[in-house]
Amino acid sequence: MKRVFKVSPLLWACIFFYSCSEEEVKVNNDYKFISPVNFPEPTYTFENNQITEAGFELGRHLFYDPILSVDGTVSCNSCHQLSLAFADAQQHPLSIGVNDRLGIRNAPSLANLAYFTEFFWDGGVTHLDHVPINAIEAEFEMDEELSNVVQKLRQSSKYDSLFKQAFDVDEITSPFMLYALAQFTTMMVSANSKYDKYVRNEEESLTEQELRGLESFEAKCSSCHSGVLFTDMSYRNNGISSDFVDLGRATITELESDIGKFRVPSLRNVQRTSPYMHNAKFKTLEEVLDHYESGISISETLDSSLEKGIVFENGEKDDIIVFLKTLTDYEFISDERFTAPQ
Amino acid sequence: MKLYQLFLLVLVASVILSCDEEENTDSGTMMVYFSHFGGLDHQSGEALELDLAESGSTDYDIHSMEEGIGMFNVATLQYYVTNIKLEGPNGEIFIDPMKVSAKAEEVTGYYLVKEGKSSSKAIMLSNVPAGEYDKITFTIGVPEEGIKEGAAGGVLDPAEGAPFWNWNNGYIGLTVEGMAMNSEQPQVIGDGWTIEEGSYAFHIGGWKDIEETTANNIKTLTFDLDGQLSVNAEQNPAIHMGFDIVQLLEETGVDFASTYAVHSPLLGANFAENLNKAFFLKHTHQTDSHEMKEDDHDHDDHSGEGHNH
Ligand code: HEC
Ligand code: HEC
Repeated sequence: MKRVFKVSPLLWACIFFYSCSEEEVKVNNDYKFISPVNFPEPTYTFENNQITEAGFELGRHLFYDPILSVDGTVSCNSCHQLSLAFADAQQHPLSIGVNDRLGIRNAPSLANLAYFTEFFWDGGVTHLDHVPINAIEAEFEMDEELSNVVQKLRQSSKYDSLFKQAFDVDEITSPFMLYALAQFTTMMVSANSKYDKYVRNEEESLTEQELRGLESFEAKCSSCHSGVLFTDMSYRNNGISSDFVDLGRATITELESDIGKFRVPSLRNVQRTSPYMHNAKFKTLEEVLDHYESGISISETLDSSLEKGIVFENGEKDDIIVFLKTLTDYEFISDERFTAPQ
Repeated sequence: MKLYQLFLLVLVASVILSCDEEENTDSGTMMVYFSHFGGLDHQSGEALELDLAESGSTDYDIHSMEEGIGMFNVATLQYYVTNIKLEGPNGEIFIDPMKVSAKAEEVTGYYLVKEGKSSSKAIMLSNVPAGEYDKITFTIGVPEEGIKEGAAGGVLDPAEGAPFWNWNNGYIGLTVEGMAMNSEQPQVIGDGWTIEEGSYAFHIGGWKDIEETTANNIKTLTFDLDGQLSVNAEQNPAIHMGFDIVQLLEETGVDFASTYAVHSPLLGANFAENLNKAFFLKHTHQTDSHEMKEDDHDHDDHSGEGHNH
């Protein structure tokens, strides 16, 4: 919580200015990172990159600008859409071509990123600032492309002043572009679902079926999809395949025992983030639950708790799905701050 | 003049004065040079200075007696030097301050030494406490401290040529690329890039301490100097380090027929293990008489033996 109330020198200056001119101090919480009370401490390095309105707005422009792609056709928003909790509607295969690294991975939802310490399905990136470099360079590790983006931003008419306002820099450089994107993406906090309001006693109650679903979920799913982020941040093989083209966590650790393990994804807004799994194997939550019940593929690295599948009582799968829908945060997916800039 | 203007003037003046006072006579500088070699001359036993080849050129000007290595050339050679430390016999110690920042001008202590760019091969350490020094320690690679702060500028900015793995975030500690007669690398044509047939690329990176893996290739090397160097305000002592690519490949046991594309921490581990044999103290100078030149051939005596002028 400490961090939230940290006052930047600039803000002090404003406060000073305002109090001198005897005006009221207006604090705009729209551009402050406020950690929900039912959440843990964020892990993002806000001490290096404090959120400001100008920084956030610059990030917003960048997020929606296809200038970041080679041919000017793709923006972050092409694969991460607000109405889908920043997941991808279609299945965008993403190949990360360091030599034989080919992969078809589904774009995950972007939410609560300030609380993660490892990103991507394989956890290969350990800082949110570094994530867009991969997104931008995608095909092969040729560091030329990030520099091209910087060149294009320098040549465009609008970005000079936006960077100047946000970071007081005279020249656009990549770290400040990454800072701006991180300001935009760390602010994507999803904590106002029906479930959250129920947990925080904010005059919201769950229906009987939702409560039954919650109970079942806690018994059968929360060993992996645990805590308020609905992930224990570990890497596991949940039996969706026994022959992994995409090695998953083993790409990073280079351990055979990690082949086919992927990060346990958060289930927040899961109703909106179809298709499911890193390889987009399932289209519906029904298919996902059927998978856990009777579709588990056996392989060396399969999580031992799933060897026999998960046994459900009659109606239990429906209850769980009904519960999962309480994780949809309608305020988040319609938040004006995250829409395309005018 | 308003009173507060006067006050400001006094303030500025006092800052300038106090800055003046800080000019420390009890400290000096130390220059650390890096030169690169491609094996020893078989007759004289002298270390042979490395000449960069044109990218894709099949002029193989480096030779190893090891069959798996044979004839090859180097088109790119660069590495990060970080965490430089000097120590002396009487407890003298200098630790180069390390700072990561998005602002390029604020980044300190991280150096990308690149063959072909002579300014990068001379590292000037300042504010070294006066005293005697007989030991240098430095790290090859960018350790966790350089990653965990997030986006960084200057020599750590991937848009400015910092060698960076974006899929397994981290800097490539040592890059060696070129062509080798024995390399089995087939031609690969991608979207806007080509990998030449017969080329090789060794990218040694990986800083993560992941349980059970050897992924951490950040190596810290220590060298005893050939005697003691005095640091004081009057003299310009220098330490001249060497790096021999043939030594590295021979100690690592590289066979170009099977090892030509190293792009992961585990594949690079063997190389990292042998860095301490590839780097060596060339010699030291108590008073550095050499100006930095466009190419620094002339300040090498090619003896390969340590001496202290
Ligand atoms: C072509 C589609 C595509 C585009 C364009 C794209 N992404 Fe992604 N994004 C993905 C995919 C696929 C993943 C998962 C990659 C993986 O796991 O290897 C991902 C992962 C991420 C993650 C990590 C999420 C997590 O939970 O680990 C973040 C953050 C992110 N993208 C932000 C961005 C930003 C910012 C941009 C624009 C600079 C962007 N993306 C552009 C497809 C895309
Ligand atoms: C042993 C750990 C484990 C258990 C138990 C588990 N999951 Fe998962 N779950 C995972 C992993 C790992 C993935 C990602 C797998 C992949 O993509 O390769 C996943 C993915 C999912 C997804 C897809 C999310 C997305 O965004 O693609 C859903 C939905 C899901 N699980 C629901 C459940 C439900 C409901 C239960 C309980 C009935 C459950 N899981 C139990 C580990 C587990």
